[in-house]
Amino acid sequence: MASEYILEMDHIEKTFPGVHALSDVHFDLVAGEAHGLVGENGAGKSTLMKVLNGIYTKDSGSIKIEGEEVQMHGIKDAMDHGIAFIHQEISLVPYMTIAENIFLGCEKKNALGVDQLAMKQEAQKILDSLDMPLDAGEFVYHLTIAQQQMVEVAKAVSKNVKILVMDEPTASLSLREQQSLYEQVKMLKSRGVAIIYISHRLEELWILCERFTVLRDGCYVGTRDVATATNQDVVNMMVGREVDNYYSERLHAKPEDVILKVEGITSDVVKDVSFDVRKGEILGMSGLVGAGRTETILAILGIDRRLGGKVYLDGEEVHFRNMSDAIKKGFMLVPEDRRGQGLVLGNTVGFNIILPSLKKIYKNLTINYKLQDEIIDTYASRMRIRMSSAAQRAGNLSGGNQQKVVLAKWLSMAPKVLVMDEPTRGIDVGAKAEIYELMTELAKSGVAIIMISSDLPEILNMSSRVVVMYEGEVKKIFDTAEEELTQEKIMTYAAGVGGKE
Amino acid sequence: MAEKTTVKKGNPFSTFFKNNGAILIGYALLVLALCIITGDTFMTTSNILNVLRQAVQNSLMAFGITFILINGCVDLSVGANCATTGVIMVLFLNMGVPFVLCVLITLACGALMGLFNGYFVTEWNLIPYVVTLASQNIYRGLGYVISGGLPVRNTDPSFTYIGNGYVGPIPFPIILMLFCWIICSIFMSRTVTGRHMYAVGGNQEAAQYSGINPKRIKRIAYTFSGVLSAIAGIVLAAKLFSGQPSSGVGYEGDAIASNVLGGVSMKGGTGTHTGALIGALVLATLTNGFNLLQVDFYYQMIVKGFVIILAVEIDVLKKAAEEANISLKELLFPKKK
Repeated sequence: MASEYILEMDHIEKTFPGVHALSDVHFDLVAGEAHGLVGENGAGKSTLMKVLNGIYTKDSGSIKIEGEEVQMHGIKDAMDHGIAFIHQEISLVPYMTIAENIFLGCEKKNALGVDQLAMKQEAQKILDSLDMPLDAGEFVYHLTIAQQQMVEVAKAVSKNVKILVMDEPTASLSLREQQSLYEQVKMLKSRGVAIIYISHRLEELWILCERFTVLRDGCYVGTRDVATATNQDVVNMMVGREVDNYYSERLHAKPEDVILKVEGITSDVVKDVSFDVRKGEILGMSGLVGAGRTETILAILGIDRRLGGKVYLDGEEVHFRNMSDAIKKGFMLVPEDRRGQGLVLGNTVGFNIILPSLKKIYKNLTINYKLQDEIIDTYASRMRIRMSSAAQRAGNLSGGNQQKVVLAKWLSMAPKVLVMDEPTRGIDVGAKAEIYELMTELAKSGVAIIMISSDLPEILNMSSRVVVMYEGEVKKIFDTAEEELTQEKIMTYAAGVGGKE
Repeated sequence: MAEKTTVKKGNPFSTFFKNNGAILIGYALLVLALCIITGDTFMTTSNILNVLRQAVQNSLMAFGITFILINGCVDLSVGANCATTGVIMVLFLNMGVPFVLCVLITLACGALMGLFNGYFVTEWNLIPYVVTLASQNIYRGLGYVISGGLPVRNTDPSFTYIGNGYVGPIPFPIILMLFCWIICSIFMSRTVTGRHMYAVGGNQEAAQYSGINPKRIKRIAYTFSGVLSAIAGIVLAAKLFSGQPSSGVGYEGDAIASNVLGGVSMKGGTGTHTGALIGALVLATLTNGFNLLQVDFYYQMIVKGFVIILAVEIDVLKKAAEEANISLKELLFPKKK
């Protein structure tokens, strides 16, 4: 039986100082299959792949390729065995051409040295054979993310790979770009390439994969056929317990409780956007990447130049010029990029929580330590942040807990309207449920939440109403009190098919 | 699906002009201005050779720094390296070691100093700025120790020829500079290691996942920088008939400035030795022009500073325009919608 597998990893052990990263992990792969590798953050997926890649050396266990035991001492070894990687972040060199990137590490040479022309011709042949409409002489920084991903695929093909590891390749792609990636995965499979597909988007398992393997806390949980498993099965395997009540209860607010009213907001990107938000509701904002959801908020904040329209907060017309204006009036933003824009990662949890309240604490050259501790204690406990102490570095927290710190930070400023841009992106399944719970609690306490999200199940299950945008315009506002929402209904408008109402 | 992007076929000259256009136009204007203001004095053969000769020292070190910057690192130790290798050269000559062997030993010492930097940057994972700031002290200290703190003299004609000799009408150092420029340029564009330097500086992770060893590449870059500083050190010592442990102070600043003027990115991944050469020529021409106009040295420094800031700003704008795939003109004067 052993020979049917192109790759077998058995009893893989890997320990880092203080962490047992992998213990007795098993993984196998058949030629021409796409094999999903799933697990929460920190479950050991990337460690396992780095062992396969030769970046980490395993403590013990065996790796067999086509039935033969191999030792991986570095990326070069992995490449020699026909293993290639496509990473979450695009790993191409921006200031080099497509051809140079494809042949990076195995350049073509002639008597005069590196032969740019031959590489360009050869690369063009590969691109053409894959039906990729790209010019091999183009610089990579001119390409869109999707085009760069094509180049990565072409690079893998050029090396005659047998095993291709794809680490969350669709994380930053728009829907249409995802489709083109799926096509490429299918094309690779038909060429007999075995694909290890790491993704947080579980639905992709059923689109692409034949089998999947689940890891949890560095341990092997199991491998199953996709066809016989349900979404719930996968989640349960990942979390290690039954996660039944994933989403919190749906809230409905009274129409007369409008707190924020936006009328005909127009900027360079968005056109004539109108909607309102009520106290105690979660308003979903749906649409494709680039539909202008975040830009609407930026226009309200005055960060993007407003060309027209009016904003009323609490019945009073407001003209925010920047973020600090908006914060004073109670309009706050939990940004999409929580590590980059939401937190000072290198500093402590406490520091991050009191950041907006510094003016209250530092007055007349004295520091009000009592108030400082009070603010930290109150909101850290209200947000149920799991940390060793407030002196722990924010960067060392898990994604879910980091999001809670951002929430605590704004909560201390008593927000009236809280915008949450992709609130659960990159957060573990288990922690997601907690964030949803906190959002519901906040809304119940009277905060109006605007939730921008590309995660359709989240939009469907959390929102009381949903604004759907397409190319800078509001296409439709659904009210869940009036009609049942479905993915199809939202997608029709998000893709611009439905007319404006 | 993505649209097919059209690419202009780049012949070497148009690519060269596209990469170095701004600095070339600036340089042309500078030369033109000097010709008009100084009358005949600037555009004489002897003055032009003078400018080139002034650029030799700086451009040799700038070539070394180009390797380093393309790798996304920095090297502040080149000035100290230059002084100390000059001393080493003269000391070995004075010991009666054959001339060619002296040169080889000195270059090897320079290479070692570079490799030392590279070792701490790659194996100890220290920040290049800090490593080379520290090694700057180490190398200069070494120079003082071995020379006893005083200049060491040597007037052997075959040695002083390196700094003062002529090949026909052209000073030997200029020929040496042009030779190094050609070798470095060929290395960067034609060898695999050269291309890998662009890759490491452009996206280290991508390079690593393509089977390139970034540590090795960076060590090579530092070694080259050390060798080029040593060449500069030999030329300087030959010019002065002596190895002077106190020479070369602040040379690293000019060498980095030349690269920046010539469009070598401080963030790594882009730039050429040709750019660095043009940058060094601009600095030398500025100095020469000011001297002809009898402008006080102190004012020269102030102007030089502003020129560098201006050049960096132009470079930043150029990059932004390139990334948006529009011309610099369109970026600065956007068309109204």
